[in-house]
Amino acid sequence: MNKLISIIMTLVLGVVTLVTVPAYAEEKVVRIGFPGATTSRPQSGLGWGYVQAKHLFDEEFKKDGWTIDYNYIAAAGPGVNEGLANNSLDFGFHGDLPVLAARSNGLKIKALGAVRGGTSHLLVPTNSHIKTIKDLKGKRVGVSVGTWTHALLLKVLQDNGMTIKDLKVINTSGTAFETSLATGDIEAGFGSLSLIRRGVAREIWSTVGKHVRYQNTNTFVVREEFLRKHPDIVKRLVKVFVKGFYQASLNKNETLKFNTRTGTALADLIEENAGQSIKYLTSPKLDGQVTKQYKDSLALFKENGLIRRNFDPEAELYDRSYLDAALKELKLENHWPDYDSNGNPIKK
Amino acid sequence: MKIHVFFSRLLGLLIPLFLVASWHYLSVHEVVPTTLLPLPSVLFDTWWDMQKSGELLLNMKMSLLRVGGGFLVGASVGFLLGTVMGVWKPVELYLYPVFNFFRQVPVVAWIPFLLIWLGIGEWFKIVFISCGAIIPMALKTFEGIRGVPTSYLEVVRAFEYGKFRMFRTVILPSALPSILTGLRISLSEAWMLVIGAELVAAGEGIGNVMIIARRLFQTDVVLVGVVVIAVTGFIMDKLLDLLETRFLGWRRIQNVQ
Repeated sequence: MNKLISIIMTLVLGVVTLVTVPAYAEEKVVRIGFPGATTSRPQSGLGWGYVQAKHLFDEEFKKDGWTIDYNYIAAAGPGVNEGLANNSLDFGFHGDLPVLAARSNGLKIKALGAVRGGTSHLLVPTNSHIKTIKDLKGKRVGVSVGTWTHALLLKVLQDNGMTIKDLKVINTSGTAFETSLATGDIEAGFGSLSLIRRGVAREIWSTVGKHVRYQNTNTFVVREEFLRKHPDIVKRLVKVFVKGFYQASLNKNETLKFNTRTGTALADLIEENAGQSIKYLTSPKLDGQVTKQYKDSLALFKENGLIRRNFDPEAELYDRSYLDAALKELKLENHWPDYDSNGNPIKK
Repeated sequence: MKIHVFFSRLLGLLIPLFLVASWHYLSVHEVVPTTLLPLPSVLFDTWWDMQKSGELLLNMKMSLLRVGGGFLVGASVGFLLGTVMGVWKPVELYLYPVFNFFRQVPVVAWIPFLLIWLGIGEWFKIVFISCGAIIPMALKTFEGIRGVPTSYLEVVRAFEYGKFRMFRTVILPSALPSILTGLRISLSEAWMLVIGAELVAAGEGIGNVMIIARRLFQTDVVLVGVVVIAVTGFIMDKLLDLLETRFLGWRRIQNVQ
């Protein structure tokens, strides 16, 4: 019996140590996770690119000894979620599906701002007979499950009176997706313009020039525990984030040129972002465009069984106070308009 | 006596019960966040939902079909290989070193190569599972045949049995316990590998359910997958155990006497 008690005690002690040690080993590091599957170089575009290139973070935090750790997560949004869940990340970026799936399953995060403007192309091999989305019925389609393109597929299928059950879904992403498309293991899937440029694939549909609801609208999220412990750091980080986005919002041509540092060609960037104002692309506001898209997505995901618990993002997810404070402090309250669900500026 | 046996069996339940209780405690008090470790009761609800919707059965069917195919091919080839190596000395001399070489390669190490050759389709999974199922079956068959006492063989030689009759009446029955062990290890290997194959690439199957759930941040579904895999493996092993008792019951009775 004594032996049993000592075994139990050892187990309990072990668990307690495991749980408490990370709390003591805390350092002054802000760890951010970017979904890195789509960028060929570990560098960010748009606002975050400016934060990195202009050393805006160091400018703000140097005197307190805080450093920033940029992590590019190959597993994209779902990988960022795991990082936030196991405390290896404090902040992250997500498209609608990963952030809503995480919150729905109880991951304690708050959305502080928006990061807009992701595009994608529905590709088929060059020699494929598939011409329209309706032709996808019964076909093997490569999907990066849990990312925003997964959500995008649901949306375009819904438009065509289909559901994901009409397809054979193969979970694949990155280079595996490209190889499978080339070998014919998959017959279609969302991918980047570079595959068309290389002659591997042909597009049957793309988000370019379409309604904003098809575009990727990321949110910038923080772990609630970090927010509770360091509200001041969060406030200042959001300020840095707004500064970067402000710089990116000044000149579209300059910003697109700057974005080539992520490894995408300028011609591609110009084509992808055609017809969209740089103000819209860089607006960090959680406005009507974001909330409507997320609300519709929640209903769509619930219908498709991707999330099991519905929730009110206004109550459980969005926290605009930090962004509002930063905009006020930088006197940028009127720099970006609020956008409606169609992506049009609302005149005050 | 019987009551004593019953209670000693119950001892095996103590640690699992303790583990579930501590797991429940850790989750309820959020010592470990429920996103990382959902409550045991949540797991049960999730399992029931998956069962009701037919999602679990559909995916289990796919996984079991793959195991069936891979195991059938792998175990048959393994049995033939083990037999020819065991019965004909020259074949053993030619094949055993090669067999031994391949035996040293963990089956998962074949994944990149098989993916290049076969892609991510159904062939990849069947071939991958067979590769794993061949080895234990061939080895145990070979060992079983090698282990037939020479005195038996001398007796049947004295009676001038033909090769085939000798194999059927003496070698095979004598090697059967070892062959059945091979079958059991082979099946359990096939079950492990189907999950491995589906984690790499699949449209359906229980391994795929877990991968999808991980991507959608559904830790409870991932854990349900683990439990279902364990229970299925356990049931399969029990079935083969029954088969063994059916065929080799005589051996047990003999041992008791």
